[in-house]
Amino acid sequence: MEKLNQVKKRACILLLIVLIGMSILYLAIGDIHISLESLLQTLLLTGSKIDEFVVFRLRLPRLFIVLSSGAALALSGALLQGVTRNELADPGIIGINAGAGVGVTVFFLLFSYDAKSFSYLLPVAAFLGAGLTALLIFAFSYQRKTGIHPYKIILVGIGFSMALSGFMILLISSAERDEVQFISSWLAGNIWGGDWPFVLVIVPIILIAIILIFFKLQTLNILQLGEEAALGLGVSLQKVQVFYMVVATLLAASAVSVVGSIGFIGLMSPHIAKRLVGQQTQRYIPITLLLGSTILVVADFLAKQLVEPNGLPTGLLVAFIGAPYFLYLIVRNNH
Amino acid sequence: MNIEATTYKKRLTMLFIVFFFVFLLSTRFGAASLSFEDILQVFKQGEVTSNILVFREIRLPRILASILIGTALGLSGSIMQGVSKNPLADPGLLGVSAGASLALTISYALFSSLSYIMVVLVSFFGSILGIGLVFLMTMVSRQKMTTITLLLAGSAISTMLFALSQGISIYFRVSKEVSMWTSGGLVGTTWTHILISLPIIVLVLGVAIYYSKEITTLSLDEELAIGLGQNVFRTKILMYTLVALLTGVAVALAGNLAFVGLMIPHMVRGLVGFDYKRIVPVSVLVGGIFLMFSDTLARVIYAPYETPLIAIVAVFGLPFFLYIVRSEKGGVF
Repeated sequence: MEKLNQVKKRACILLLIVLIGMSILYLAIGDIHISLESLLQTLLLTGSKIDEFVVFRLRLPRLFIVLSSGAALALSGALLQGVTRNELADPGIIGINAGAGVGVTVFFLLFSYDAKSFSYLLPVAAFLGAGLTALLIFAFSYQRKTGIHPYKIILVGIGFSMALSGFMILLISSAERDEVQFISSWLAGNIWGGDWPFVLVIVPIILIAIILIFFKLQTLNILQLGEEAALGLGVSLQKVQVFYMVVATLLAASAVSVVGSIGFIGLMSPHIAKRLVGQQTQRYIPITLLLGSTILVVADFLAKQLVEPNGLPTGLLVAFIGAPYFLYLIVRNNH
Repeated sequence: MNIEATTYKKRLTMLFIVFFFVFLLSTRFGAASLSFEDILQVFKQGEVTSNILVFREIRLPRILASILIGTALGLSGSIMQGVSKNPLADPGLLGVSAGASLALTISYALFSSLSYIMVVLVSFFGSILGIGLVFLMTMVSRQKMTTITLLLAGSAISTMLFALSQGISIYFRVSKEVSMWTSGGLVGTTWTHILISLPIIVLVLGVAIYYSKEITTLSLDEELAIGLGQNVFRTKILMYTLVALLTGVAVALAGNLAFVGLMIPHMVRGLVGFDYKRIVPVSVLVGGIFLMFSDTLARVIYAPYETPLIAIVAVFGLPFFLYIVRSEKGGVF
């Protein structure tokens, strides 16, 4: 047992090293390669003009977006899994991403020519869309006697995400024919908001949400014990559930509004984290965040390198890994 | 919940009338609105005007294609739901059409152009791949899969195959050709497409009617079917081959239309009960009506631009999906 813990601890340290290493690679490698030495110089503001431009204008903002969005999606998944007590929940699978997408679509129809100067409105639009969708999904999977059905909610979510993708295309094709390209690349999970204005809006929101959750970890623990235990311990169940749902929606909506519809990160990260450090929220939530960031950074890095010149949409690469993982979970848990 | 023969006949007549009405509507409206006189002109001798050409070469094959797709998807949904006894089975939701898409993308990537017969064949084999994967899942699973887990597995398979085909199409730079048919709806349907698809659909319809008794028994009770001396395994294999053929034809014509294969069978069962001798022909009518109508909308909403048919079908499909998931008859829980 002692040995096993040692191994797990090492795994966590390894994870941190991978994350930092990948971030450095992310900044260094691309169409223009920057040696580690000049990268260090650039970061200390003594590098060449070109390097400075590449790092500070192109790669660093995108890295921030990727790191924070990965963590946000992972945490959102963990919260959804906690609330629905179903480890197959994920903002992408459950339809929240698609709801945010409708918000983004409307936003784009309104401000397509200068999206950047209205960047602060983007997460708001995404959140409204996602919130409305989440509400509908809950309403449709809620039964008076039994409450939220843990599997039905996923089924309803799948239906919503398919229909809303169609709705997005419908909305777009009604107005701006050229924007169809944007929406289909958004749906495939193409990271497009890798720019400072978006960083300044999205990253703080995600950070605040994460900090908020860290104050409430104990309640999430209790929630996992089951509804009766929670009631017995004096937790106001509905209030807590609503709180977590709102934060989960906010996190997912802000993330996907800039990185496109990326699923499965919220599914995989909490699950792997629990296997590494156990069921206690104080332990697995931080690891979940790390995992989410790592998965997205690695996926985005590979997606950019694999296909010249524009790269694959990152969401596709995540789905290659995520969908089989989802299948594996279904087959294993099937009772 | 089977209905009397007279009621059945009454409903059948009603459906025929609606079918005819929608057909007329569909001939008339589109990017170019034709009056009924224009259309009648087609059947008379005389000089060929542009209106006649529009009708004969563009409008008519397109309407026929929408009927064929409606038939194919409605029927494959009916068969799938009956054979798997899963009220939520649908080739689009379970990853069968995704398999067809993947196969098509791969062949587009390898060969720059494909004859239409090849397109149909390839998407047929792709559908078999999709069905095979779903089967594999049920085999690997420790316990018998419930309706819901099967559907979840199907949607994951679907996501995976789509991601794969999107990746391939971007890598080989054929995304333009591929998206031409995955989201192109029925734009550019020609008589060749119809002439290749129609015999397949007719053949499948014949086989389905011939085996309607077997499907009915199988859909009601598998034990009973075995007791009656039916070779259940053989029937299932045959039926899934039919599903693959139907899905292949539908995907080759219009890409992936989810929800159609789910909703049509539910409407049909509501109308005529559980006897497949009735379900099969009525699926043709109801599926045809639904898709003719949706495609007319696709032509009309933002004419002269096309609205993607997929989008219209998906928006229509959601309420139905929700209804089935929530209803007691979903019988899943």
